[in-house]
Amino acid sequence: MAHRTTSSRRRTDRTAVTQTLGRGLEVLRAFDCEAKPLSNRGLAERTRLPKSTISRITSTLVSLGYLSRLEPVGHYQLGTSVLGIGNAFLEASEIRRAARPLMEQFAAQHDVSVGLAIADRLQMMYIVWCRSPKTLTLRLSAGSKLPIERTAVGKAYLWSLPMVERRDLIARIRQQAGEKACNIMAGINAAFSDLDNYGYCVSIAEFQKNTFGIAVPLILEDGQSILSLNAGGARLNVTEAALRRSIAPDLIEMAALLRAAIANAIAAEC
Amino acid sequence: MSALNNSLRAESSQKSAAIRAPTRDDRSGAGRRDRNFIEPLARGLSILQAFTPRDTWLGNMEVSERVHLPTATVNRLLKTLQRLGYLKFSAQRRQYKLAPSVLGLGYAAVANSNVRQVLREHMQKLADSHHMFVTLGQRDRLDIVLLEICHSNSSLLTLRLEPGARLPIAETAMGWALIGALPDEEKDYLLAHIERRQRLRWPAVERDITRALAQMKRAGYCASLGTWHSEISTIAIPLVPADQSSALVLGCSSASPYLPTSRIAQIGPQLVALVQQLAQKLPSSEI
Repeated sequence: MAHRTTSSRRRTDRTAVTQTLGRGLEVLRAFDCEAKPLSNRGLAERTRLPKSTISRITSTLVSLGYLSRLEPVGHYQLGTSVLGIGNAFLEASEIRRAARPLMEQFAAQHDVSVGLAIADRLQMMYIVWCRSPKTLTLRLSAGSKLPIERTAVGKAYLWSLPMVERRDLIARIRQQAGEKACNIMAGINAAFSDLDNYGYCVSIAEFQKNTFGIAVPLILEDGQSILSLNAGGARLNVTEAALRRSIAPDLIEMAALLRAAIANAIAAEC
Repeated sequence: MSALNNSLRAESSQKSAAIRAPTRDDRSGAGRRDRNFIEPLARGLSILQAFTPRDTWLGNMEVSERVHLPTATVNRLLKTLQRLGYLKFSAQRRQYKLAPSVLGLGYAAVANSNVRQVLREHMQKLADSHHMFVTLGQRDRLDIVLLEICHSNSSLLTLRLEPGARLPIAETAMGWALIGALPDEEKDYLLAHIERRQRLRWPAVERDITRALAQMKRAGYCASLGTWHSEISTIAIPLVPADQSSALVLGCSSASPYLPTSRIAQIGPQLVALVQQLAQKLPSSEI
């Protein structure tokens, strides 16, 4: 009896710590890709946490140097401490090490930006990002997040999910899209039909004006880790036909090379 | 002022966490200065910080040594961070490593702001025209954290430094320049703190800092000739945004033979003028 009480209390403690820590980190996540300062209220809206919880979290994060408070308005901005953690991951990532040389070469050769992304909730997050020295680039880097449903890189990921997960994720996307759901579904279906037929999908001026993306899914050898490989850029005078003709075949080829290179690197690591 | 207090407070709160850790019970609350302070969050973040580019895989014991917490506490937090998706566990190695989700903790926002893009362009021009490598840093406690690094296109040397790397504030030109840019009261406070940390090495460190601060006062920049690294010389200039908040520092380095005292005296003033122009353009809230 006593034993049971202790173990259940331990479980309660564990849940409480998980929740506390998870919520605190959620506040850092809320800063997304823009460095725009946010207020306690803004953070409460983004994280859907009570304002009193948020103010305890922000005060802790300020005293740890992860946030700084901007006077006199009392908005918060990210401190530089977050760079250390992200950088430690990037430097250590064997996927990145294996993929980078091939991607850089591709970027220079085709004059595009090339990114390798994973899903992060309802967004795609680049873990490798290379740009051609010449391109007009989108303002992105490793760690940048883009919406799944309005980018080629996201739709290629969505397509390669197992059926049940795909359906669940689409349901969440629809729910979030509200009245735009119809439009978004049309875009997703068009991409899926491209992926079914040709193994890649294209998105032009969808997420941002004057930009294009062309993406192929990249399923690692364990069969579970799904990445998505994207070539994109900001170009005013590119036609869809030209993208399909000049970039798509090479991108598909690169995905296969990357898959093998990453598999080797992961095997060497473990 | 508040930034300085905050980071010093951060250090003391971390220390207090370390000291009271052996009580085993996380809820004791002894030594907690602020009732709003969320201990599990602080500890979780310190565990994430324990992983570095060099220490990719860490086991329970190693993390425990680095964060000064008992293994039982660390073990619980490692599992929690794994559950939340921020760490990966290898059953084979019985060790953890950072998972891609940690990139979502604001990395892109800091690495990619507007101002940083503008600065990056100027730094790259500087690196190319003067054949130097140019670094941008900000203070975090007793370190300079590098935010940007630009190599010259005809670089004579490259250092294996990446954004996020830390340099000791007391022993680098970039650190001295930042100390020099502080208001007197904060400067004294910080120096006292450094003195306590350095203990026996303080006389040598103090000599370097005093010389650098005198140079800062005279010329607006300071230089190190092989202090930080025996073969590298650096000119450092503080970059204080127009609204006086959160000072940055720019470092321009080259192999020592290419940056002798005479060359430093020649380009130092040019760099100071350039940095002053840049500072006027910077809304600090965006950095």
